[in-house]
Amino acid sequence: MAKKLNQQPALHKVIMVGSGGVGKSALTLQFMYDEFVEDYEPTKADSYRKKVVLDGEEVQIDILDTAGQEDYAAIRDNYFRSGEGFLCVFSITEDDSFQATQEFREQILRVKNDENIPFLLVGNKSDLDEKRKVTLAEANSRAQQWNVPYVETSAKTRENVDKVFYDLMREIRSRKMEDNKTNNGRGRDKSKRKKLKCVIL
Amino acid sequence: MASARRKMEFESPDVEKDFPGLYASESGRKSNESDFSDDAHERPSKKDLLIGKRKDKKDSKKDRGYAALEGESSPEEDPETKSPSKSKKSKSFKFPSKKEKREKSREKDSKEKDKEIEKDKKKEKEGKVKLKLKERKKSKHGEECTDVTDELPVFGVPLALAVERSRCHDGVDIPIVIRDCIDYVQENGLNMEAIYKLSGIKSKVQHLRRLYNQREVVQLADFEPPVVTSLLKQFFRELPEPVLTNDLIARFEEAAAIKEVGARETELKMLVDQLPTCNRHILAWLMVHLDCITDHEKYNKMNAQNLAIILSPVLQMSHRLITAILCHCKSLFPEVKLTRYIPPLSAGSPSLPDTVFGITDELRKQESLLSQIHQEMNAGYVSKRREEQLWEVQRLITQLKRKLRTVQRAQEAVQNQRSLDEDRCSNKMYDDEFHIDTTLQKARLGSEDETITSVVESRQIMPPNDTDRIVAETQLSIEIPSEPMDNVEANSSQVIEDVVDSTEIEEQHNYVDASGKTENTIVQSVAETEEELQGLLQEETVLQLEHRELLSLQADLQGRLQGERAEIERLRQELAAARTKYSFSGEDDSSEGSSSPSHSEGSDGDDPEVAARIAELQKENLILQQNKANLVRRIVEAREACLHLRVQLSLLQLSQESKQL
Repeated sequence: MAKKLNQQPALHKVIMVGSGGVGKSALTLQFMYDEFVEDYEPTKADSYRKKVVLDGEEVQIDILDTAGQEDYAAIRDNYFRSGEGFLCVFSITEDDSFQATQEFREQILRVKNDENIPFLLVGNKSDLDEKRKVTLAEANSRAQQWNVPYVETSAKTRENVDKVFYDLMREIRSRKMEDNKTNNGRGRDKSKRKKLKCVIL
Repeated sequence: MASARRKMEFESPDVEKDFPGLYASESGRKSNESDFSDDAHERPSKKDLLIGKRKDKKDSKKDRGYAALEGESSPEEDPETKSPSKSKKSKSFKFPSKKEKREKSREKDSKEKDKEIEKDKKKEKEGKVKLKLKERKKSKHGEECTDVTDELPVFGVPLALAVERSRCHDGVDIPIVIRDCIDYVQENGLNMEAIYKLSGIKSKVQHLRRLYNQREVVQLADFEPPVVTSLLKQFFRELPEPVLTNDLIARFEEAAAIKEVGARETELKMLVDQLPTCNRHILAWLMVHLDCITDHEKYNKMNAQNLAIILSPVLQMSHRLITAILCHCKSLFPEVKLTRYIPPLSAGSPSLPDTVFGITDELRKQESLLSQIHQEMNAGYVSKRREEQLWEVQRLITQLKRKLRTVQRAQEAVQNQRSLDEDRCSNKMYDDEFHIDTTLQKARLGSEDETITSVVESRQIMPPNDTDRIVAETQLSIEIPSEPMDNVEANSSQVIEDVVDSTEIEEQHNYVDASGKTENTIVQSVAETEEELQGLLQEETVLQLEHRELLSLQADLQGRLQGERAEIERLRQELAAARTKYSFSGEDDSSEGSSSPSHSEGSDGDDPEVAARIAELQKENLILQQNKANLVRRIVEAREACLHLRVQLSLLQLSQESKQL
């Protein structure tokens, strides 16, 4: 089992969340294919995989781009469950989308039941600074309250696009390492317990 | 079932711990689910009492219980006896009761009693070892999977549920297990003697049943025909309600008893139409399939009567009813065509389809699969592997969507080119005329005078600064034609080349079109093997790429043609202007027309020197023409080579892109 893990590059599962039209798909496509898609087409759900080098180590990133619209909330849960890290995106030009991050955060915490789940608050469309509605201070204070980093990006200019994905992957990786340490014992316990059950009965 | 339920109770707290609150609503659903299937099991027994087919039913019931036990116990039973080390690894979820043990020992006894040849036994053992390996693998990375087998099985549930749980993703609403079995027998069993009569090795049948219950991808090809037919029979035997439904089955029997053939058929047809959709589908597929088997009676020795005898208890239909339905099969189910099921691609699949048809078809399948996964996850069936699959299918869908978009974009471009093409068609007519014109001119090179006119006419294509001079020297031009001739050759060769190219493009275009069409029909008659399909698809990509290259080439040439045509027009105007400028322009004009003979008469008599010169020039012209033809050929060849290289290049790029994806 361990050998298998060593052979295959680690896989980090990232989920994009946020209201409709804030640029989740744009960020994803910019990161994946270096392309910026101007025309807006609502996403239902899309998933991508990419091999990247994270601090000298080859890893795979799975990105799941979810629907911002409420209509697809039902299938969203299924995805949230399997996500290892979340990019919670809003548009700095739209206050509603910033308010909505609160709900997304709650939903994620509810599904994952983990306050420390790798999570980044992302303010997109930083190229449209003249239309800014959400101040840096506002966003920063919310990030502090959640104890997560806040980064402003522009899918159009590619500013900070790589940064948010790589930062999140680093968090996921360190999180996994921690889990391994603490969980290893627990994991063994689990299997032992199961075996014990069998033996007893 | 009892053990399964116990297990569930045992497991659920664990799951709850992992995802607290998550299943609050789902666990409710879960219990409903199991209640439902319990119900389903009870129902037939009630019905038995009513109908009085008790003995038959009892057997099948016993079978069911037996099967359920064996299916779960067999993989664990063997490691215990054969290698103690394995028993440590295999995680047993079950708590074998005494009753079960008795069952097991009975099973062993019966096995020993079986008068099987030693070889068969060996085979069985080998098979078991294989099965065990598979089983162990599963239990390693699919611990939670076993839960779904018990909670949401495919066997032994109402047909509609089985269809939903074991969905074919190509729109045919019969359980995948039945589809697979029919596909398998259609391919491998039609000519096998006593197909459906022979029973398969029970452990293998149970293994397959279990795999289907777990929604595993199953390779039936690894099994013998009797195993597969037994699996099919088992599915029908386990159905809580007969395929013909409790409500209608009696009326079916009555209909089958009608003596008059026509009336019998209409009555049966009417009843078939009353069946629930999924019952009608599965009945249709099964009967059409059985009909196929009787078509091969010569080889398999199975006629309708024989099949009826074997399947009568399985389908809970009388011999007469089965033979009647088989007899009217073609008119009862005229729309049913047995098509081989091609499951949705998995992440390991080498390449995505390339045609719009192929992609949309695949996309439909993947989306059907995705919605099934969501459904099952919402129903509480959550496992690591399911989640992986969810992401994987989603990824495939995203890839397919992206590819569809690019292919559609490419097709749009092609269509634009096609409309351009039509434009070009009219232009081509003009080209041809022009082409004939020049050749005519060459043919007319007989007399000195005509040489002059032809030179003048050809001069239209010459650079303008020369034209003036030449027009002015029309009479004297006899001395200088070698130089302009060269130019003319160059120009006309260009024209000819263009014409050649465009016809060539036309031909290749048609070829691509035709091959595209045949390709589609091939895709539709899915009977071809997948390899063949892959090859054809690849061929099609190549052709499409070639087509694209040719189109761009054509556009390029067209642009040039237009430029030249504009130039010609301009030169013509200039020539006309020059003609009006000079006094003899009128004479020249007439020489082009009907009055030319008189003109030539006059100049013919001039002197033999001129005639000799003309002959010389003609010879030279001939040589130049040959040279030109050679050059044109070489250009065409070079162009073709270029094209092929370009196609290969884009092919490579495509494959790289898909790899990156």
